[in-house]
Amino acid sequence: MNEASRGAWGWVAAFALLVSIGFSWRLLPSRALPESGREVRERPGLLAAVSRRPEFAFGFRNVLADVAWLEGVQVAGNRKMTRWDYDRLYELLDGVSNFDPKFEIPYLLGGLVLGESPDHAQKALEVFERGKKEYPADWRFPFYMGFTYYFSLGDAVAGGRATAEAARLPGSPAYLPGLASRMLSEAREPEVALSLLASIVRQESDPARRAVLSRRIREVTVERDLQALERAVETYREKMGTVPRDLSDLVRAGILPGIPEEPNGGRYLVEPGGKVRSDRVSQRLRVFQKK
Amino acid sequence: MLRRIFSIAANTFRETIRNKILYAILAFALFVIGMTFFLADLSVGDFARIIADVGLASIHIFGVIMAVFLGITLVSNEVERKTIYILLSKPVRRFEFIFGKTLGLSVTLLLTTLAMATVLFLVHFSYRYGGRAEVGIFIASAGIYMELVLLTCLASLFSTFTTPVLSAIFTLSLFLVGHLTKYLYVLGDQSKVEAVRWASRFIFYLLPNLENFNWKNEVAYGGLKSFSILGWAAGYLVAYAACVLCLSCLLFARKDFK
Repeated sequence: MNEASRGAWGWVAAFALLVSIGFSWRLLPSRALPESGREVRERPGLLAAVSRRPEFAFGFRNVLADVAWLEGVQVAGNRKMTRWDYDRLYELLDGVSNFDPKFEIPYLLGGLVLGESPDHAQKALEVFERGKKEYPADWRFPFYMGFTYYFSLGDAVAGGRATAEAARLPGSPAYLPGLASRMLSEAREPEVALSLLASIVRQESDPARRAVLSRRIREVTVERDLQALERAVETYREKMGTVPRDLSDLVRAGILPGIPEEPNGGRYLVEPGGKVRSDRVSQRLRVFQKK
Repeated sequence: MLRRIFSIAANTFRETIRNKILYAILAFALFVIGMTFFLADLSVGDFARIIADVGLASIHIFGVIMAVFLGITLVSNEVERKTIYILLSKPVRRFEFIFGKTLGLSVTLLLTTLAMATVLFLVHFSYRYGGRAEVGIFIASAGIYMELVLLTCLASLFSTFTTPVLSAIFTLSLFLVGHLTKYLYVLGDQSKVEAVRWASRFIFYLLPNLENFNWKNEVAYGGLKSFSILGWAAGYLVAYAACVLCLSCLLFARKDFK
């Protein structure tokens, strides 16, 4: 092939490429462009099928777990997550944990995203539960479970219990016992909160943290007493048809054996509406305080 | 004898290392491994893990392609080009030919695996989020290399008695089966019939267990717990490869080239 004919072939190739670009440009509007593939409702497909029998990954389990996770990240990154997106995310997370049960991040992040949807909160809890099984010493799993119970399902009891479990695990942040006790107090389970705090105080060697925890024990004790006194006031109201003028009326009416001692050295007082308060504590123990 | 085996091995090495297809596969493999640097950015958390996983999977896949497609032509090429007649007319015994050919290709695969593992190591090391010098990449690559050597032996076995296309099909089938044999063992153990249990165990030990060389998962989670597994795997490779090569020699010795 001489120089001239080589040059001719090159020009023909360039011309053919230009023609093909013209055809491609003409065809572009006739085909719907998927918006990052979002509206394409993909079926779980081969990846999910293989994940149910991970032996058929033929030695590529880790990389298939990565593929499922990367796809999960794309689904979770959608600005407006639909119900279908959450379902798809759950399927992908399921696939990830089947391929590689030790892959930690998908449990944590995937579970948190799933938990945003109240309809998928139970599935988020399933994801966290699986992660907890693989990493029983990691406080983040019960903590996120508590978060999901409390915020997505509105279950302060389960939320408090899960957070309390997280607070007992090594490496958990210092604020967790306090948070758990607030949730449990709000859930009218101050006794559980007190036993949690007592067990953590026993393990705590740092004097500053012990002091904070002791203060929290006093706050929970006040909350426990206030709840008991308010129940007694309610019983008094049902019995006498009126609110007691003083808490000692409850003892005189035989409803309470005695008035509990305010742990901060103060007194419990009953308000005209029947609300009971401590003269030393201005706010009740809640996760969120009303401003 | 050793001198003859080494000279055949050296010749095979020179021949395979000049193969353009090998370079095309290697270049593509290196490109894919390099691309993991950007792929990891798609993840949320555990970025470096994505590099290690995808990179090792690339080494594995492209290594298998090289081993199979070079392995199946080990003997058949010599027959096609009729160079086998010249070789065997010299004082070279047939088993020396098989051993030398397999050894030569194994050296080529060692170099290509090492090249891919080094590039992956560098990509992993230079990654800005959590990149580190992960020696585990070389350990997992050593496992992959052992698997490739075994596949080369199997490919050379098949190439002694059948066509290259069938050799490729047989070798790739054994590659797939080799990663499933544990499943066969577990399934057989679930049977209530004693004979089925023994039969499944027999087939389990008869077939190559390529999962013995799969340490990718260990690398993803901070290295091997015990290095003795490497020794056991190497022992398994030597024994199984010896068995396959002996079988190849047996079949090759009975082959009539007239």
